[in-house]
Amino acid sequence: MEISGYLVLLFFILPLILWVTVWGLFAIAYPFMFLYGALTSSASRKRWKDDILRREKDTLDKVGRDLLSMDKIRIPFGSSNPEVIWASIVIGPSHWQQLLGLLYNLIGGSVDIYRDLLAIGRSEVLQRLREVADSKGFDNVVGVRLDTSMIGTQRPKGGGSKGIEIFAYGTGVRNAVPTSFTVQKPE
Amino acid sequence: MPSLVDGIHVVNTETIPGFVIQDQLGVVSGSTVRAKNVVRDISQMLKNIVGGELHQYTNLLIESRNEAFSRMLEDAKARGANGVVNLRFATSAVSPGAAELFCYGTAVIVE
Repeated sequence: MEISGYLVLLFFILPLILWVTVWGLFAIAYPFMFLYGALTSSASRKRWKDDILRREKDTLDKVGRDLLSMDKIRIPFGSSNPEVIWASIVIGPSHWQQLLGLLYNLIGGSVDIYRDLLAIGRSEVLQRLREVADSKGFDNVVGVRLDTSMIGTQRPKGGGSKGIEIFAYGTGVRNAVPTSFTVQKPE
Repeated sequence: MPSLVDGIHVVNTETIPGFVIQDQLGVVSGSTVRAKNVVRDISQMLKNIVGGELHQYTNLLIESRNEAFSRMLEDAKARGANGVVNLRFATSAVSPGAAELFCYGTAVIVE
């Protein structure tokens, strides 16, 4: 009798209490987190944009020009030691932004909130690529490509965590001239 | 970003600057399918409510890409190549919660 009572307590009551506690805490915390996300949404995006602009300016001041290009290489000279380099970011639209996106979905038109978020993500990832290239001492990054994909939807019908991955890669070169620098202007 | 590992030059352009391509050995590829783990998933779900960058997933995908990349390098090495040109990456969500990371390129012998 005693043992079966303990067993019931151990395998049924305790997990139930734990489960209810965890979900209860989550249910209490969720509205606050949602509100926090909603209230700080535009401010945090602005901060992020300013941060990227500042870092872009730093790199530009240091190097003097944009490192990235989509060109091929035409005239290599000296030893260039090319290397593939890449950078990536996973951004998660907050639940507030997802809700706004859903509302946009009803009336149609351009979904500005997602466009803004993706634009920020792209500039961030390109800036990271510049920083990687700069830290490895490359003069140019040629053949830059961008790739975007949805990852990590826990359940097929919404819910769970949503992530948008943006990935940039290119070939870092030293002492090599990208084609656009060698094209002659017609007289 | 392991690039010059085992003396293999990897680029995503058609030629390797400073080298001449002698021979072409076909397309080599490497892939990996990764799922998230539960602890990461819960922490990222909470982060997702507020929004912003999901650092854990960024790191997870970088690790997975390195793995796919080194598998491709093994393939190239097995063919006796010392360079890979025209490297491309592809990502696809094969099932909810798991993503395939794939990279492929042309194995070449350069001099």
